[in-house]
Amino acid sequence: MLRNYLKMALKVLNRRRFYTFISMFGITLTLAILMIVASFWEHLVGVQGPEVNQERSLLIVNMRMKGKAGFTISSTNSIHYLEEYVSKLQTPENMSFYSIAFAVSTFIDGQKVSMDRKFTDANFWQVMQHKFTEGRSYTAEEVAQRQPVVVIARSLKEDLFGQASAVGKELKVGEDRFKVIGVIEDTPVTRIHSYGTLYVPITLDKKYGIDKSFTGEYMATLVAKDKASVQAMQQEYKALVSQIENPDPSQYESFSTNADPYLAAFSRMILGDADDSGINTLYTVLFVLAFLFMLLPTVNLMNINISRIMERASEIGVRKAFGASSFALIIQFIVENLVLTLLSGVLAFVVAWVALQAINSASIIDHMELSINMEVLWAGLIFTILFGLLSGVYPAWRMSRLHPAEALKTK
Amino acid sequence: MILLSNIEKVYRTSSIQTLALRNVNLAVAKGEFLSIMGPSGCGKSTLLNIMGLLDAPSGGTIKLDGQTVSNLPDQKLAKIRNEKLGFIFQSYHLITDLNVIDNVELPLIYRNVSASERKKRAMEALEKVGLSARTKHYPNQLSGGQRQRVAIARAIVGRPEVILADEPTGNLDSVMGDEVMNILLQLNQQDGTTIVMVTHDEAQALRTQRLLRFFDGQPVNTESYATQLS
Repeated sequence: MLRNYLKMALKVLNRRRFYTFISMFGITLTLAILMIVASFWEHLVGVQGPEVNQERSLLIVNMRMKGKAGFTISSTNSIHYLEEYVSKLQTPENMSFYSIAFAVSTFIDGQKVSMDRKFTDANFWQVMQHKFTEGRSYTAEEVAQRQPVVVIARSLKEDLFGQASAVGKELKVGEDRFKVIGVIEDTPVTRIHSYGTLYVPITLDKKYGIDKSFTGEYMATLVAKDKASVQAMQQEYKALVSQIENPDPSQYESFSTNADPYLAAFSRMILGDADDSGINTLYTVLFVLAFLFMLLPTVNLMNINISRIMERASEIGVRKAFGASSFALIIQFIVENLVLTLLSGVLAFVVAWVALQAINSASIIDHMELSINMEVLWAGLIFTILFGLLSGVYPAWRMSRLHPAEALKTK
Repeated sequence: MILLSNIEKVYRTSSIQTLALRNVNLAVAKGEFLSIMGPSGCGKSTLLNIMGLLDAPSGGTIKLDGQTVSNLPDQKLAKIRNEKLGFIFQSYHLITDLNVIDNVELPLIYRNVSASERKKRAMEALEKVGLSARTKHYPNQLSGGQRQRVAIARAIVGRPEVILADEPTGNLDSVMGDEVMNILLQLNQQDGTTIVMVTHDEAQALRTQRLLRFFDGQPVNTESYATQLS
């Protein structure tokens, strides 16, 4: 029976090409956009690039200082705070402190070359798994001894030294002179924890050892030994924070900071506060947006389907006259709709893939390589089936309710 | 075979009630070829639809082979229509998206007959109506007479006991009409299929075993209900 439904669905789609085109156009466009958005999202918060330990990591991104005058300052952390307090945590298997990447520039033969400088500790190269194209990372000893060594990204190396090897060469940034010891593959700018083009030992930051405030330009990644230990690590950090005294009681009522998984760290930045990571709000917002985005073409397809009831009324009457029950007709129309949406889904994958290649080659975001991965593929498939069911069930039910004698009167 | 008792059909809108059938009593014997004639709007097609379980009566009972079938649920009605009844319509009602053989196979699909068996039986039915050479054509590639022959093949493919034909020659010229009528007579005489046919064509009606004249929602023949039953 299902084979007949499929055969009928393909025949209907083939014979009513204009309807098929209109319907597929809407569904394909919607699904393709959803897949592209999902791909961006995956790129933003998924396991990507050097941040391979994401599933067993916690991030310390922001510190909130509640001022007595009623304002709240939200800022990244100081290196002093991280080294003085966070480094005392026992649960993490590893941890790394690193700064946000800040733009600096140098001049080569009168030409300005921009770079994004990131101060990191030596652990950074274990916590993040950058791919070295030449040379090596700096060691803990080199960091401790304030050795002027740097690791640079491949794109910067090409700007500075062309195709020649960069290892051992000197790089001047302002008044500072560094020796290049390693070159890594470029990291997308969207991955704020691993991104940079010029990586410098943390001890070479001019504020290092001087600034004793809690806020600064630094973040931390804590890595647990496995996924199950993440919660214990989070609790230990919470307990640690509760014991830290207010750094400046004259100005601030209190301060708060959290160690969050990737997505929660992201949601806390845009939607959360000290007590709530905002992750539920984020999921709700994303769900509502996706739902609203899908609603319009769904309603549209539903509408087209309902308007086709009259067009196909005679067929419904004939099928009922020759033995089709209402249930059999509902299944037939749902199968037709699912075939239509699944075909559109396949087309949407192709469109999304082409669009992602175009986005990648247009370099909208530096070094960003978007792709349709398995999760996006499954999400797309679920979207497609949901789409097919949502837009097919009600019209199918309406169609099946047609009385055969009435349906047969329709020309 | 078919027994209608006190059948009434009322069409209601918010302001008007129209009585389409008034207290109709009718018996159709097994193997009979009955034609029903009457002016447009007299209720003959409504009667045929009720006999074919395509429409529900407002009152009265329908018996098919001794079984009361009025008020059965959708699923059971669908099964009876599929197994016992075959329909031929004035405007053919072929499914335009399907070719000839797929149209003819339709009743067998709802019986879960295998594809090879369906094809075999559809070919047999098409041979009976002389259209076995046009199996891959679509309805819009056929003449009116050919379409009606496909419709007849579809009606007989499931070997139903009863064929209900609503003006089967109404859209055809006299030559084509005669051809279709000959096929119906052959089905009745050779296969013993019970046929009830609504028609406006007196000449065709007179070729059947019994003619029932209908007027204003009622039969107007002199034959009594008791005679019919006997």
